[in-house]
Order: sequence, then structure tokens, then C-alpha cells
Amino acid sequence: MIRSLALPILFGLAGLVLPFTGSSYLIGVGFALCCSIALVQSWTVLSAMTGYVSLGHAVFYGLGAYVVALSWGALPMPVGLLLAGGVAGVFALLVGMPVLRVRGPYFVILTFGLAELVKYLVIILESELGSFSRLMFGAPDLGVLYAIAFALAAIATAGALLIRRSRLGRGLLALRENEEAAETVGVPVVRLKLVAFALSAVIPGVVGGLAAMRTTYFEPMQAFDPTVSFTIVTMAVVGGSDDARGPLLGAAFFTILSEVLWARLPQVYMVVLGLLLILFVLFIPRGLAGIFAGRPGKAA
Amino acid sequence: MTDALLTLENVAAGYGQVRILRALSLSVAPGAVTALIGGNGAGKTTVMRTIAGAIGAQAGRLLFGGQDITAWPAHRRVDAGLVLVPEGRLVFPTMTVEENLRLGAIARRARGSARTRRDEIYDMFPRLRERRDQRAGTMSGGEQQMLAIGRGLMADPTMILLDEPTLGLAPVMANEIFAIVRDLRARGLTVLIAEQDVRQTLAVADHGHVVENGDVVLSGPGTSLAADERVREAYLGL
Repeated sequence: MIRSLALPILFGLAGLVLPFTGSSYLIGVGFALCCSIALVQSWTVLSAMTGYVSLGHAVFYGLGAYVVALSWGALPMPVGLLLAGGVAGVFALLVGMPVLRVRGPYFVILTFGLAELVKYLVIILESELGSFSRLMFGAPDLGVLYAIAFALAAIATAGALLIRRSRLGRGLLALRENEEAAETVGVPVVRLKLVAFALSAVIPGVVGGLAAMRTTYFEPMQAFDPTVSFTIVTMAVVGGSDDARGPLLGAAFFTILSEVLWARLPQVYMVVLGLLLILFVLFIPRGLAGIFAGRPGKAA
Repeated sequence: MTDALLTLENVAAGYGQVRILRALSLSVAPGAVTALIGGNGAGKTTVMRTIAGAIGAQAGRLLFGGQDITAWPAHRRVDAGLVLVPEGRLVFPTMTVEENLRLGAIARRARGSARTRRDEIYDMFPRLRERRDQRAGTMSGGEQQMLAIGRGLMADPTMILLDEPTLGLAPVMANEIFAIVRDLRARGLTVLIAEQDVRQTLAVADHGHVVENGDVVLSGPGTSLAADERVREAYLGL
């Protein structure tokens, strides 16, 4: 318990101190890190706890960005962000019923396809509306965005920790092990999967809205970029997703890596990403968190 | 049998387009052991899964304790005290024995007294207590079957469904399982057991139904079924 909380607390303290450096470069990096942590923690609520691996979380991120872009100027910023999370959650509930009927590789492909489908629907919609990208004037400054991202990362981390210890979390782990057996002990399997799917969508929706404010424009190809989905999964694999520490480590590792490489050797970045993914899947399936826990062995 | 605990009336069920049960009717008396016997593919497991709500009934109705449960999802039936120990045991393999038992008590009706009941189950199955921290998937088939039954009992059932509990077990272990069935009955539970070991099953059963091609073709007290010409010929090889 103490051990598993030490790292989140350390990250939290670092995040609280960061703004006092006054360096907009560091705060910018911190913003990206907090967004990643919030995304990966949310993803684990569905994909690590139930075994339904989503390769389509970009859809929630993109929808959140779209909601904030559409409501920009019409609604106060906090309301727009809450709406972004709400729309992502409701969308998950609506598509969850059919989508969560399939398992394994079918679910992975289905979520990926769904995200692409929504992306192109938004592109068509936007061209019908005669707008190819939406500029957002008067976005809040970086300090404010950082504070919101930090809060989201904290909420997502605390949420992931609490859910794991709750009855909901035990039910989810049971259905990951064996859905049929979970049903026979009285786990409301369909309902829990849907709840997990919706919970894992809300914060990514808000993060998407926040990211749109950071770039001050919305463009569907970028907001629904499948790289968002890939990055989330890669961070979870490299960090480990057996507990709440993994996403922190995975997100931090990739944020630092991209700062180091992206600036100097951008063409090498994707190569390194691919190599790391292969190495971790093959040799360190429990991820960085597994190494820290002293159990780098294969996941049973 | 108006005082039956469970009644199936003309139940149809199956998988997708494939109908296994067309119009099956049977009833289970409270506090007794009722057996479903029949060969492979006769539909015994489909009956069990339909009763537990793992698959829905396409026609007919199911009554449990006087309530119509036909449309109830599986977890609601568990909450009503109707618990399935599925075929092939289906323990949670990477979880420990203790964690498996704790999950057995996840249903609302079971939460209050989970700890006491776990201790009772450890008394019933001392081997599970010895192995409480062992991963369930690494145990022998017989031990996993005991765990599956123990996990089912954690839900505090009034009626427990045992689907092929001795499948793939050594004869000694199968004998132990039948001893457990007697013990459950002595504790006042209603038991419905689907088995291929017809001789031993009819020896413990108060009542039996012979299932063939998705229908009950013969019913009667366990002892008289065991003496029945057709049963002796078809299932006992006599």
C-alpha cells in the first residue's frame, strides 16, 4: 500500500512544484506529461482491468477536442471542458453495447475502426459546414492549462487506484480472468464492462478539449490522429498496467524520450518507439513498474 | 409438484440458430438432490446454463421460489440464491484460492457473512485452506473442482447447480465429490447435478431426469431410475 502510493505522491509533489520554476518550457513538458498520465490511467480502467484492449481511445480525445472547438466562445471554458468529458462518456455508453460484445483481437480492431470512422464522419461534417479547421482565439495561458491537466492526471490516478480496490475493480478483474465464471458468481458482466468503458472515456474527452486549447485550433486529422491511441497503448505496455504506477512511469519515460529525441533526431523517434515496444512485449511484459516491483518476469 | 423450488415449463434454448432444447419441462424439489443424466450432447449443460441465466430462454418460463425468473440476468439469479458451478470448473486461474473464494461472495446477498462462510468452506475442504495462497490454475483438477464448489457456496445459495463435477477426475476424487454432494444435501441445500457417471449419481440422487435430444424422456426417484430397464441398458451397460 505505502509502496504503491510512494510514486504517485512523488509525481504529485513534483507537479505542484513545477509551476514555481517559471520556465514555460518545463511547464509545457509538464502539461504534455500530465495529459499522457490522464490518458493512460483512464485507458487502464478499461483495457488493463477487463482485458478489453482499446486501440481507439483517440475517438474520445478527438470528440472532446471537437466539442470544445464547437462550443468555443459560446460556452464558458470550464463548461465546454465538462461537456467534452460528458459527450465522450455518453458516446462510450452508446457504442459500448454493441462494441463490447466482441473480445480479443476483434475488439482491438473494432475500436480502431470506430475511431477512424468517427474521424472521417467529422471531416465530412466539417466540410459540409464549410470549415476546414477551427481557430480558437483567446485560449487560456499555459499556466491555467497546466493546472487543469495536473488536476486531470491526479483525478485519473486516484480514480484508477480507488477502482482497483473497489468492488467494481474486483468484478472487472474477475471478468478479465474468465467472463463466464464471473457471471456465475454474480458479477453483472455487461453492466460493469459498460461502466468501465464510459469511465475510461470521460477524462480522455476532457484531455482532448484541453489539447485543442493548447494548440489553439481544431483540425480533425490531428484531433483524431490514431497516433494518440498507439501512444497510449505503448506507454501502458512500457510502463506496465498492473497498478497505478505503470502509467506514471510509461508516460514519464515517453515524455522525456520525445523531448530528447524529437528535438534532435525526429526521424529516429518512431524507430526507437517501435524497438522499445518490441523489447518490452518480448522481455519485460510487466513493464517498468514490474522492474520496480522486483518481478520483471512474464505476466502469468 | 406445486411445492417445487425450481420449475422449467416448456423451455426452449440454444445458441444462435441452433436450438438445443425445444420444450423442456422439469422440476426440482427443495432440500433434495436432483440428477440430470444423459449422454454427451443430450443438452444437460444447456439446461444448466439456461437455469443459471448464462443463456436466455427463447420460449417457455422458469420459476424459482415462486417467482418468474425467465427474464432475469444471471447476476440477479445469483442474488436470489441460484448458483451454478460451471462445467470445466472455470476457476480464476491467476488468482489465489483465497481470492477466488472472496470473489464468490461478490453478489449482494453474500456480502455480509462472507468471512464466516469462507471459514466454513475451509473446514469443509481442508485442502483449500492448505493452499489458500496458491494460484488456482496450478492446482489439480480435483482441487479446482473443490474450489469451484467452494466459490459457488460463497454466494450463500439456496440451490446449487453442479455441471459435470466429476468430469476428468480420478475415481478417488470423483468419490470425494459425491461425498460432498451428500454433505451439501445434509446442510439443507437443494442440489441439481448433471453427470455422466450415472451409477454414482443415481445413488446419491433423490430424484432423476433422463435427458435425451434436449428433452426429458424419463423421470423418477433415483433408486427406481437405477432399476429401470432402459436406463440400465443405455447408461449402465447392463
